[in-house]
Amino acid sequence: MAKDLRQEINKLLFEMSAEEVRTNILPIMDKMSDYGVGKLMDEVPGLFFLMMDKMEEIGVWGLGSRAAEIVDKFMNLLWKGISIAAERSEDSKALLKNIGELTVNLEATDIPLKTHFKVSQGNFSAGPGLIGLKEQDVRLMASTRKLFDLLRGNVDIVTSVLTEQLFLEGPLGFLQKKVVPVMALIGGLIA
Amino acid sequence: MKNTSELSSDGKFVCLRCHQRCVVTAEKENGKIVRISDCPCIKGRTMPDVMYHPDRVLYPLKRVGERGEGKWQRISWDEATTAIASRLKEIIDSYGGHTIFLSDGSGQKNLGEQAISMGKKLFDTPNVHRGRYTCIIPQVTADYAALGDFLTYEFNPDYAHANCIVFWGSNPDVATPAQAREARASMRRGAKVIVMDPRPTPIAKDADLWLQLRPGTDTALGLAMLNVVINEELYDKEFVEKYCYGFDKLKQHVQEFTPKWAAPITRLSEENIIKAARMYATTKPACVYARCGSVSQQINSSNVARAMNSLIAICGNVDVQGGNLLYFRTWIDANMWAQYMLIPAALKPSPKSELKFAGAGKYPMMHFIGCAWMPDIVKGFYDGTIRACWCISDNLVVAEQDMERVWEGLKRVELSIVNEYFMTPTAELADFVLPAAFYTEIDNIVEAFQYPYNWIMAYRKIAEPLGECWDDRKIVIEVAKKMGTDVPWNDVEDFLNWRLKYLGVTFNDINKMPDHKLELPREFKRYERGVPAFPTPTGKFELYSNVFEALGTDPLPVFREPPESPVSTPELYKEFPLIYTHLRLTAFQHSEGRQIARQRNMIPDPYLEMHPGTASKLGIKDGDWVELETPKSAGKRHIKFKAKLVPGYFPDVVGGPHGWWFPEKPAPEHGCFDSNINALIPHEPPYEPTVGNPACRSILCRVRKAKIQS
Repeated sequence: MAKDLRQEINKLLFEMSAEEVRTNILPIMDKMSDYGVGKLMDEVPGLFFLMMDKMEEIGVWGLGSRAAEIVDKFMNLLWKGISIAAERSEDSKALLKNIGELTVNLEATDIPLKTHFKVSQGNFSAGPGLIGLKEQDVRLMASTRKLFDLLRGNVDIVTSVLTEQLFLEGPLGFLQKKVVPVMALIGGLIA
Repeated sequence: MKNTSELSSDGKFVCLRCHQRCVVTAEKENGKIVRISDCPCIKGRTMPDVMYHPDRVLYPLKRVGERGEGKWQRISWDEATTAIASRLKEIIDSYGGHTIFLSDGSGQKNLGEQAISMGKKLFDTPNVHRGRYTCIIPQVTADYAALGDFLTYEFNPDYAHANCIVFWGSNPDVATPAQAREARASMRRGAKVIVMDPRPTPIAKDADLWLQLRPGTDTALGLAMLNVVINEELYDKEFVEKYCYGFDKLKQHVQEFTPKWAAPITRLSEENIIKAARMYATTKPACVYARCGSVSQQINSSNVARAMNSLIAICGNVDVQGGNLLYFRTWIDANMWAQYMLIPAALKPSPKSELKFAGAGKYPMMHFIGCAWMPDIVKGFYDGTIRACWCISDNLVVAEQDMERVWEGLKRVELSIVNEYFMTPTAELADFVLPAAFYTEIDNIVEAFQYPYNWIMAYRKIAEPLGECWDDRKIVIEVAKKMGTDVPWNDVEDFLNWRLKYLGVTFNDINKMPDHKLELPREFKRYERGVPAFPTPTGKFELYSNVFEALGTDPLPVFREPPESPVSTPELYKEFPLIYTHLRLTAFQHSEGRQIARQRNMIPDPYLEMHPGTASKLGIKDGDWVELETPKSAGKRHIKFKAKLVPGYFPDVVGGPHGWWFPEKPAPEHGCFDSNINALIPHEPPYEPTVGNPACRSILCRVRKAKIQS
């Protein structure tokens, strides 16, 4: 990795004040994207987990219109990272193959974040925006903080849905049988 | 456009006048349905009477006088949908989609549910109410928390293979006659029957064991039965060990709830409580059918259902042949079903709107099931948090408690729309009354997974809609299109195909199958193939509910004395010495059918069942009109019934019908406040802890002979 970028990431994660993070996170993420997510993951273990901690620390969801831009960009990196990590692991591939077909939309209640992921024929893919209702199996809605917790595998999904900390559009059975194991996988890959 | 005979050659369709899913056949002469055959039930047989009734609303109507004044102008569908779309859009743009309230009742069963679920998405509102929280909702909530599925509902018991059948607060001969026939056939081959009911119902009289308990004490009975089953080790150890969570906590919890403890509470003998527990636990397989008599309309409702589903689980009667079947036999069924009946969460509005549901922070599980909390909705009629009300097959004024406030509230909303067959009291207050097509006049898919069925039927309309009646779902789609909303479905058939997506078939595919039915394989013990076994937080059947705990309510079933009772309010009981409970009427489904002569002739007047001795003390004879009032209504309002003296009642219990109104009485009220218990029940605490319904049975009342006998 370019030494400068690594230093910048370290500063972002461990040294910068909240205000500095808010100012610098977008250009640093651009550089991370240019450098290559796969390489980054090899060189900075737990990168995405740490970045989510950092965004939580600075309260990114309170940044108004910038929040969506930051989170969108982060999600783009994250999805690429998860796709790569899933592709590299035979266990992940086996689990995804077992899941079959699955399309999940994620939508934040506090910022205009809309994103989705798909599992198809053992492959994981993801991207910005929502997939249309007819193709969607499940849509989960929650605060960005809760969605981050969900991605990190820190949420009891069924309890959260039944108590409406997470809002579900779609079948509960599908959620338990397919979404819960995929979210656990994502959480593991992020960690 | 195909003509009707091409669309459906045999006239077969599913009767939806109640929940039974009976397949019936329409016989036609000169294009008109003249008879419904294969139908033993008055509600099914009178479908042509409804369709061709002279009072049926056949054209879109717009109010031109004051609300309730009865002045209407016939308008075209184009005018109606344009005007409604414009008003809804104004409201959404100004105040947000959440200020639109959509409601459906049991009328047009299944159609209204579909239409308001579509509306939830298309008009971006979380504020819908489906069915009633005084009906299935507490039971569904308790079952979902325990096992993520239905278990105790009327669809679940497998009567045909059961060796023991429990009817708990249910009167199958009246409420679910098709299933009653199955149950009685099993009784003839020797199945034992236990009935828990304060009322001497026909099935109670024929039961091996009738537990005539005091209204509102079902949870106490359930806890005592659990105590016996656990302490006598009559439970299914393998099922408990493999598939249940929290058994030790349940065991510890029920230790104090002995039959000795429950006997004086319930007015049962210890011996009979023990006998019932042993009979249910040892006569395998056994099924339980619970309905509103026990698991609804009380502040204990979800607790009763929790006690019941715990009994079913520990006795190993979950999804075994002859037990309580899981409605969804396979995961495909389950996934399809949510899509199909749109329960509980198949369609949702935007996140911004979703956060603004009525009852937010109070009853989240009720909202998950698909219901906004009615006391906040009605409050919203007054404070402007609800600006528009659209009732689809819902006579809201008659069906909801605190009906006078609902009545006045509906006069205050900016926009009121009603899809109906007849001018109900609710329709009388609307700005637009839209003529709804009847079951026979629409394309539909209907499922039936209860014994003995396991199929999905897709049928084309049997007759062309009368006048200018439209399918409720089409109305919602067309209004949304005129609002400029991105509608995911081109038309109703596209919507039906979407609902079937997990089955990999289309509406047309099923319609072309023999009898228009897709038969699904019958499977049992779905949990053995499920990964996890149950869609709950622990993946097990939760005897100790993590969900209820997270909601801050009782994770284990708890008995609470009804807020008004001989025990909790003995002084009040002296003044109001009777306990009111509801009963169903054979002739009617809820508030429907009062204008249909063949139905009304069976039961011309609303009646109050009571003990002859009690009546005698009050100077009341059989057939006298009586007045009933409650502690909360005394001095303000009373309701009238004809006395029906029934030996076998507790002397201090009376039972009356719900949802009564008089189409023949003057508009706009049509006598809706005269004989309806909802007129006496305010939206006031205490509420049921998980769904928030007020108690509308097991409440105290007093009765006197009416001064005017008419």
